[in-house]
Amino acid sequence: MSTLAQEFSKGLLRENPTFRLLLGMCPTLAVTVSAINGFGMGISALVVLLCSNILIATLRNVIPDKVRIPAYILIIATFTTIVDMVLNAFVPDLHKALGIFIPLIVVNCIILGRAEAFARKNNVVRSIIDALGMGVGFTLALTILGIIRELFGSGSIFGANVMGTAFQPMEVLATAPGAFITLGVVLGFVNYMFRRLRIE
Amino acid sequence: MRDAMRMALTLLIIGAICGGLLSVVNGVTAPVIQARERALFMEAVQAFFPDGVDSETKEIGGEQFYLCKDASGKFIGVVAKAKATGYGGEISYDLAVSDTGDIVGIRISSHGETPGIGDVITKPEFQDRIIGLNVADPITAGVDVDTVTGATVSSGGMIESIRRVMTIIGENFL
Repeated sequence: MSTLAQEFSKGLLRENPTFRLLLGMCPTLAVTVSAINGFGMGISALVVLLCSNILIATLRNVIPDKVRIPAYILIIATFTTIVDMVLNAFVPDLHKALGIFIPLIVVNCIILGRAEAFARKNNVVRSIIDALGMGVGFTLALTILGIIRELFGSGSIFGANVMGTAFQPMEVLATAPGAFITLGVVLGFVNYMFRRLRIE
Repeated sequence: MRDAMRMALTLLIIGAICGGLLSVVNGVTAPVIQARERALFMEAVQAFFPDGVDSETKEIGGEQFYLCKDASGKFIGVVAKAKATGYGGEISYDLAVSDTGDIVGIRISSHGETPGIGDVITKPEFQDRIIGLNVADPITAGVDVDTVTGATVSSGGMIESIRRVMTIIGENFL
Protein backbone atom coordinates (compact mmCIF):
# COMPACT_ATOMS: atom_id res chain seq x y z
CA MET A 1 0.00 0.00 0.00
CA SER A 2 1.59 3.23 -1.10
CA THR A 3 1.57 6.33 1.05
CA LEU A 4 -0.81 9.21 0.51
CA ALA A 5 2.02 11.33 -0.79
CA GLN A 6 2.82 8.70 -3.40
CA GLU A 7 -0.83 8.47 -4.40
CA PHE A 8 -0.87 12.21 -5.02
CA SER A 9 2.44 12.47 -6.83
CA LYS A 10 1.78 9.60 -9.23
CA GLY A 11 -0.85 11.70 -10.97
CA LEU A 12 1.62 14.51 -11.45
CA LEU A 13 4.43 12.69 -13.17
CA ARG A 14 4.75 8.88 -13.25
CA GLU A 15 1.10 8.33 -14.17
CA ASN A 16 0.28 11.75 -15.59
CA PRO A 17 -3.07 11.29 -17.32
CA THR A 18 -2.09 13.24 -20.41
CA PHE A 19 1.55 12.30 -20.99
CA ARG A 20 1.70 8.81 -19.51
CA LEU A 21 -1.81 7.36 -19.49
CA LEU A 22 -2.82 9.25 -22.66
CA LEU A 23 -6.36 9.81 -21.41
CA GLY A 24 -8.63 12.75 -22.18
CA MET A 25 -6.90 13.52 -25.48
CA CYS A 26 -9.89 15.15 -27.16
CA PRO A 27 -10.30 18.10 -24.81
CA THR A 28 -6.52 18.31 -24.49
CA LEU A 29 -6.11 18.93 -28.20
CA ALA A 30 -9.11 21.20 -28.50
CA VAL A 31 -8.84 23.65 -25.62
CA THR A 32 -5.08 24.17 -25.30
CA VAL A 33 -5.16 26.98 -27.86
CA SER A 34 -4.46 29.34 -25.01
CA ALA A 35 -2.97 28.90 -21.57
CA ILE A 36 -5.97 30.21 -19.66
CA ASN A 37 -8.36 27.90 -21.53
CA GLY A 38 -6.14 24.91 -20.83
CA PHE A 39 -5.92 25.88 -17.19
CA GLY A 40 -9.66 26.48 -16.90
CA MET A 41 -10.50 23.14 -18.47
CA GLY A 42 -8.01 21.40 -16.19
CA ILE A 43 -9.57 22.93 -13.09
CA SER A 44 -13.10 22.11 -14.28
CA ALA A 45 -12.16 18.49 -14.90
CA LEU A 46 -10.39 18.39 -11.53
CA VAL A 47 -13.56 19.52 -9.75
CA VAL A 48 -15.71 16.92 -11.52
CA LEU A 49 -13.08 14.22 -10.89
CA LEU A 50 -12.86 15.11 -7.20
CA CYS A 51 -16.62 15.15 -6.63
CA SER A 52 -17.24 11.96 -8.58
CA ASN A 53 -14.37 10.11 -6.89
CA ILE A 54 -15.70 11.11 -3.46
CA LEU A 55 -19.26 10.01 -4.20
CA ILE A 56 -18.28 6.80 -5.97
CA ALA A 57 -15.84 5.82 -3.21
CA THR A 58 -18.53 6.53 -0.62
CA LEU A 59 -21.06 4.36 -2.45
CA ARG A 60 -18.61 1.70 -3.57
CA ASN A 61 -20.11 -1.03 -1.38
CA VAL A 62 -23.67 -0.01 -2.15
CA ILE A 63 -23.70 0.07 -5.94
CA PRO A 64 -24.24 -3.43 -7.37
CA ASP A 65 -21.44 -4.41 -9.70
CA LYS A 66 -23.68 -4.98 -12.71
CA VAL A 67 -25.05 -1.44 -12.75
CA ARG A 68 -21.88 0.34 -11.79
CA ILE A 69 -21.29 1.94 -15.19
CA PRO A 70 -24.76 3.57 -15.47
CA ALA A 71 -24.44 4.67 -11.86
CA TYR A 72 -21.00 6.23 -12.42
CA ILE A 73 -22.14 7.98 -15.61
CA LEU A 74 -25.17 9.38 -13.76
CA ILE A 75 -22.94 10.76 -11.03
CA ILE A 76 -20.28 12.12 -13.40
CA ALA A 77 -22.90 13.72 -15.66
CA THR A 78 -24.53 15.41 -12.67
CA PHE A 79 -21.30 16.98 -11.47
CA THR A 80 -20.36 18.00 -15.01
CA THR A 81 -23.71 19.74 -15.42
CA ILE A 82 -23.23 21.47 -12.08
CA VAL A 83 -19.79 22.73 -13.16
CA ASP A 84 -21.32 23.85 -16.47
CA MET A 85 -24.07 25.83 -14.73
CA VAL A 86 -21.70 27.40 -12.21
CA LEU A 87 -19.24 28.46 -14.91
CA ASN A 88 -22.04 29.88 -17.05
CA ALA A 89 -23.32 31.91 -14.11
CA PHE A 90 -20.07 33.12 -12.56
CA VAL A 91 -17.28 32.84 -15.14
CA PRO A 92 -19.16 33.36 -18.43
CA ASP A 93 -16.07 34.24 -20.49
CA LEU A 94 -14.37 30.94 -19.68
CA HIS A 95 -17.66 29.13 -20.22
CA LYS A 96 -17.98 30.63 -23.69
CA ALA A 97 -14.34 29.88 -24.54
CA LEU A 98 -14.55 26.23 -23.47
CA GLY A 99 -17.96 25.86 -25.09
CA ILE A 100 -19.00 22.33 -25.84
CA PHE A 101 -15.97 20.83 -24.12
CA ILE A 102 -17.47 21.41 -20.68
CA PRO A 103 -20.36 18.97 -21.21
CA LEU A 104 -17.82 16.66 -22.86
CA ILE A 105 -16.07 16.31 -19.50
CA VAL A 106 -18.66 13.57 -18.89
CA VAL A 107 -16.93 11.34 -21.43
CA ASN A 108 -13.43 12.44 -20.46
CA CYS A 109 -11.78 9.07 -20.01
CA ILE A 110 -9.79 10.24 -17.03
CA ILE A 111 -12.89 10.55 -14.87
CA LEU A 112 -14.57 7.27 -15.70
CA GLY A 113 -11.10 5.70 -15.78
CA ARG A 114 -10.27 6.70 -12.21
CA ALA A 115 -13.73 5.67 -11.06
CA GLU A 116 -13.25 2.19 -12.49
CA ALA A 117 -9.60 1.77 -11.64
CA PHE A 118 -9.45 3.41 -8.27
CA ALA A 119 -12.49 4.93 -6.59
CA ARG A 120 -14.51 1.75 -6.53
CA LYS A 121 -11.75 -0.17 -4.77
CA ASN A 122 -10.38 2.41 -2.36
CA ASN A 123 -11.67 4.42 0.55
CA VAL A 124 -12.78 8.03 0.34
CA VAL A 125 -9.55 9.57 1.61
CA ARG A 126 -7.33 7.76 -0.89
CA SER A 127 -9.83 8.51 -3.66
CA ILE A 128 -9.68 12.20 -2.83
CA ILE A 129 -5.88 12.17 -3.00
CA ASP A 130 -5.96 10.22 -6.27
CA ALA A 131 -8.42 12.68 -7.78
CA LEU A 132 -6.34 15.64 -6.66
CA GLY A 133 -3.15 14.13 -8.08
CA MET A 134 -4.70 13.19 -11.40
CA GLY A 135 -6.58 16.48 -11.63
CA VAL A 136 -3.52 18.60 -10.89
CA GLY A 137 -1.47 16.48 -13.32
CA PHE A 138 -4.08 17.01 -16.02
CA THR A 139 -4.23 20.75 -15.31
CA LEU A 140 -0.43 21.03 -15.43
CA ALA A 141 -0.31 19.16 -18.74
CA LEU A 142 -3.03 21.30 -20.30
CA THR A 143 -1.49 24.51 -19.02
CA ILE A 144 1.96 23.61 -20.37
CA LEU A 145 0.52 22.72 -23.77
CA GLY A 146 -1.58 25.87 -23.68
CA ILE A 147 1.42 28.06 -22.88
CA ILE A 148 3.44 26.57 -25.75
CA ARG A 149 0.65 26.90 -28.28
CA GLU A 150 -0.28 30.37 -27.17
CA LEU A 151 3.30 31.63 -27.01
CA PHE A 152 4.32 30.45 -30.47
CA GLY A 153 0.90 30.58 -32.05
CA SER A 154 -0.18 34.04 -30.88
CA GLY A 155 2.81 35.60 -29.16
CA SER A 156 1.24 35.89 -25.74
CA ILE A 157 1.10 34.09 -22.41
CA PHE A 158 -2.20 34.18 -20.50
CA GLY A 159 -3.26 37.02 -22.75
CA ALA A 160 -0.23 39.22 -22.11
CA ASN A 161 1.73 39.95 -25.26
CA VAL A 162 5.35 39.00 -24.63
CA MET A 163 6.84 38.56 -28.06
CA GLY A 164 6.43 42.07 -29.37
CA THR A 165 5.01 43.26 -32.64
CA ALA A 166 7.86 42.05 -34.84
CA PHE A 167 7.05 38.44 -33.97
CA GLN A 168 5.35 36.44 -36.70
CA PRO A 169 3.21 33.86 -34.96
CA MET A 170 3.05 30.29 -36.24
CA GLU A 171 -0.67 30.32 -36.80
CA VAL A 172 -0.80 26.60 -37.46
CA LEU A 173 -0.38 26.08 -33.71
CA ALA A 174 -3.81 27.57 -33.12
CA THR A 175 -5.42 24.90 -35.29
CA ALA A 176 -6.02 21.16 -34.93
CA PRO A 177 -2.88 20.02 -36.76
CA GLY A 178 -0.85 22.29 -34.52
CA ALA A 179 -2.46 20.67 -31.49
CA PHE A 180 -1.34 17.23 -32.60
CA ILE A 181 2.15 18.48 -33.43
CA THR A 182 2.60 20.18 -30.06
CA LEU A 183 1.27 17.20 -28.15
CA GLY A 184 3.49 14.83 -30.11
CA VAL A 185 6.62 16.87 -29.54
CA VAL A 186 5.99 17.29 -25.79
CA LEU A 187 5.09 13.60 -25.46
CA GLY A 188 8.30 12.62 -27.22
CA PHE A 189 10.25 14.89 -24.91
CA VAL A 190 8.58 13.40 -21.82
CA ASN A 191 9.28 9.86 -23.02
CA TYR A 192 12.92 10.76 -23.68
CA MET A 193 13.33 12.35 -20.25
CA PHE A 194 11.74 9.36 -18.53
CA ARG A 195 14.13 7.01 -20.25
CA ARG A 196 17.13 9.23 -19.57
CA LEU A 197 16.33 9.63 -15.88
CA ARG A 198 15.09 6.05 -15.71
CA ILE A 199 11.82 6.82 -13.94
CA GLU A 200 9.38 4.05 -14.70
CA MET B 1 -35.46 -11.05 -9.03
CA ARG B 2 -34.06 -9.62 -5.82
CA ASP B 3 -30.88 -8.72 -7.70
CA ALA B 4 -32.83 -6.83 -10.31
CA MET B 5 -34.80 -5.02 -7.63
CA ARG B 6 -31.61 -3.99 -5.87
CA MET B 7 -30.07 -2.71 -9.10
CA ALA B 8 -33.17 -0.77 -10.06
CA LEU B 9 -33.55 0.69 -6.59
CA THR B 10 -29.91 1.80 -6.43
CA LEU B 11 -30.15 3.57 -9.78
CA LEU B 12 -33.45 5.13 -8.77
CA ILE B 13 -32.03 6.53 -5.56
CA ILE B 14 -28.86 7.79 -7.20
CA GLY B 15 -31.00 9.35 -9.93
CA ALA B 16 -33.20 11.04 -7.38
CA ILE B 17 -30.25 12.45 -5.44
CA CYS B 18 -28.60 13.68 -8.65
CA GLY B 19 -31.85 15.24 -9.81
CA GLY B 20 -32.27 17.01 -6.50
CA LEU B 21 -28.70 18.31 -6.56
CA LEU B 22 -29.16 19.63 -10.09
CA SER B 23 -32.40 21.42 -9.19
CA VAL B 24 -30.73 23.18 -6.30
CA VAL B 25 -27.76 24.36 -8.35
CA ASN B 26 -30.04 25.37 -11.20
CA GLY B 27 -32.15 27.41 -8.81
CA VAL B 28 -29.07 29.37 -7.83
CA THR B 29 -27.44 29.77 -11.23
CA ALA B 30 -30.35 30.16 -13.66
CA PRO B 31 -31.42 33.64 -12.44
CA VAL B 32 -27.82 34.85 -12.63
CA ILE B 33 -27.46 33.57 -16.19
CA GLN B 34 -30.76 35.04 -17.29
CA ALA B 35 -30.03 38.43 -15.75
CA ARG B 36 -26.66 38.57 -17.48
CA GLU B 37 -28.09 37.62 -20.87
CA ARG B 38 -30.82 40.21 -20.50
CA ALA B 39 -28.25 42.86 -19.57
CA LEU B 40 -26.10 41.96 -22.58
CA PHE B 41 -29.05 42.15 -24.89
CA MET B 42 -30.31 45.48 -23.54
CA GLU B 43 -26.78 46.84 -23.95
CA ALA B 44 -26.81 45.69 -27.57
CA VAL B 45 -30.26 47.19 -28.17
CA GLN B 46 -29.08 50.51 -26.80
CA ALA B 47 -25.98 50.34 -28.95
CA PHE B 48 -28.26 50.36 -31.98
CA PHE B 49 -31.00 52.61 -30.62
CA PRO B 50 -29.56 54.92 -27.93
CA ASP B 51 -32.97 56.50 -27.38
CA GLY B 52 -34.61 53.16 -26.81
CA VAL B 53 -36.04 52.91 -23.33
CA ASP B 54 -38.63 50.27 -23.69
CA SER B 55 -39.07 47.16 -25.73
CA GLU B 56 -41.70 44.59 -26.32
CA THR B 57 -40.71 41.07 -27.34
CA LYS B 58 -42.43 39.10 -30.03
CA GLU B 59 -41.42 35.60 -30.99
CA ILE B 60 -41.88 34.41 -34.54
CA GLY B 61 -40.64 31.04 -35.75
CA GLY B 62 -38.35 30.55 -32.76
CA GLU B 63 -36.59 33.90 -33.18
CA GLN B 64 -37.09 36.89 -30.92
CA PHE B 65 -37.91 40.38 -32.14
CA TYR B 66 -37.46 43.29 -29.74
CA LEU B 67 -39.64 46.21 -30.72
CA CYS B 68 -37.90 49.31 -29.44
CA LYS B 69 -39.72 52.43 -28.37
CA ASP B 70 -38.36 55.77 -27.22
CA ALA B 71 -39.38 57.70 -24.13
CA SER B 72 -42.58 58.98 -25.73
CA GLY B 73 -43.67 55.50 -26.72
CA LYS B 74 -42.97 56.00 -30.39
CA PHE B 75 -41.77 52.95 -32.27
CA ILE B 76 -38.20 53.53 -33.38
CA GLY B 77 -37.08 50.17 -34.66
CA VAL B 78 -36.74 46.48 -34.11
CA VAL B 79 -33.78 44.32 -33.07
CA ALA B 80 -34.04 40.73 -34.21
CA LYS B 81 -32.17 37.91 -32.52
CA ALA B 82 -31.83 35.63 -35.49
CA LYS B 83 -29.96 32.58 -36.69
CA ALA B 84 -28.18 31.77 -39.91
CA THR B 85 -26.50 28.65 -41.22
CA GLY B 86 -22.87 29.18 -42.00
CA TYR B 87 -19.95 26.97 -42.96
CA GLY B 88 -19.25 25.86 -39.41
CA GLY B 89 -22.81 25.53 -38.16
CA GLU B 90 -25.25 27.94 -36.65
CA ILE B 91 -24.56 31.67 -36.48
CA SER B 92 -26.44 33.75 -33.92
CA TYR B 93 -26.70 37.43 -34.66
CA ASP B 94 -28.61 40.59 -33.83
CA LEU B 95 -30.02 42.69 -36.66
CA ALA B 96 -31.23 46.24 -35.99
CA VAL B 97 -33.75 47.72 -38.38
CA SER B 98 -35.09 51.26 -38.12
CA ASP B 99 -38.74 52.20 -38.39
CA THR B 100 -38.17 53.10 -42.05
CA GLY B 101 -36.96 49.59 -42.83
CA ASP B 102 -33.25 50.38 -43.09
CA ILE B 103 -30.71 48.06 -41.53
CA VAL B 104 -28.84 50.23 -39.03
CA GLY B 105 -26.70 47.62 -37.34
CA ILE B 106 -25.66 44.01 -37.19
CA ARG B 107 -23.81 42.13 -34.49
CA ILE B 108 -22.71 38.51 -34.55
CA SER B 109 -23.10 36.99 -31.08
CA SER B 110 -21.85 33.48 -31.78
CA HIS B 111 -20.55 31.53 -34.73
CA GLY B 112 -18.47 28.53 -35.69
CA GLU B 113 -16.83 29.97 -38.78
CA THR B 114 -13.18 29.44 -39.60
CA PRO B 115 -10.92 32.05 -38.01
CA GLY B 116 -9.32 34.24 -40.66
CA ILE B 117 -11.70 33.07 -43.36
CA GLY B 118 -15.38 32.71 -42.52
CA ASP B 119 -15.21 35.04 -39.54
CA VAL B 120 -15.13 37.92 -42.01
CA ILE B 121 -18.84 38.08 -41.22
CA THR B 122 -17.88 39.79 -37.97
CA LYS B 123 -15.79 42.38 -39.77
CA PRO B 124 -16.68 45.64 -41.54
CA GLU B 125 -15.66 44.05 -44.85
CA PHE B 126 -18.90 42.09 -44.75
CA GLN B 127 -21.02 44.10 -42.36
CA ASP B 128 -20.64 47.33 -44.37
CA ARG B 129 -22.36 45.56 -47.24
CA ILE B 130 -25.37 44.85 -45.07
CA ILE B 131 -25.82 48.14 -43.23
CA GLY B 132 -28.00 50.51 -45.19
CA LEU B 133 -29.98 47.89 -47.06
CA ASN B 134 -33.71 48.40 -46.93
CA VAL B 135 -36.58 45.97 -46.50
CA ALA B 136 -37.69 46.85 -50.01
CA ASP B 137 -34.32 45.76 -51.50
CA PRO B 138 -33.88 42.26 -52.93
CA ILE B 139 -31.05 41.48 -50.44
CA THR B 140 -29.94 38.61 -52.64
CA ALA B 141 -26.38 37.45 -53.31
CA GLY B 142 -25.27 38.54 -56.74
CA VAL B 143 -28.13 41.01 -57.16
CA ASP B 144 -27.67 43.91 -54.77
CA VAL B 145 -25.15 42.49 -52.32
CA ASP B 146 -22.10 40.31 -52.98
CA THR B 147 -20.77 37.42 -50.97
CA VAL B 148 -17.19 37.71 -49.74
CA THR B 149 -14.66 35.98 -51.94
CA GLY B 150 -13.26 32.91 -50.18
CA ALA B 151 -16.08 32.93 -47.65
CA THR B 152 -19.06 32.28 -49.90
CA VAL B 153 -20.85 29.86 -47.61
CA SER B 154 -20.42 32.00 -44.51
CA SER B 155 -21.42 35.29 -46.10
CA GLY B 156 -24.06 33.68 -48.35
CA GLY B 157 -25.69 32.01 -45.38
CA MET B 158 -25.81 35.34 -43.58
CA ILE B 159 -27.34 37.11 -46.58
CA GLU B 160 -30.02 34.43 -46.96
CA SER B 161 -30.91 34.64 -43.30
CA ILE B 162 -31.00 38.45 -43.35
CA ARG B 163 -33.33 38.31 -46.36
CA ARG B 164 -35.63 36.00 -44.43
CA VAL B 165 -35.57 38.10 -41.26
CA MET B 166 -36.18 41.32 -43.21
CA THR B 167 -39.24 39.76 -44.83
CA ILE B 168 -40.62 38.84 -41.42
CA ILE B 169 -39.92 42.33 -40.10
CA GLY B 170 -41.50 43.93 -43.17
CA GLU B 171 -44.65 41.85 -42.87
CA ASN B 172 -45.11 42.14 -39.13
CA PHE B 173 -43.64 45.31 -37.72
CA LEU B 174 -43.28 48.05 -40.28
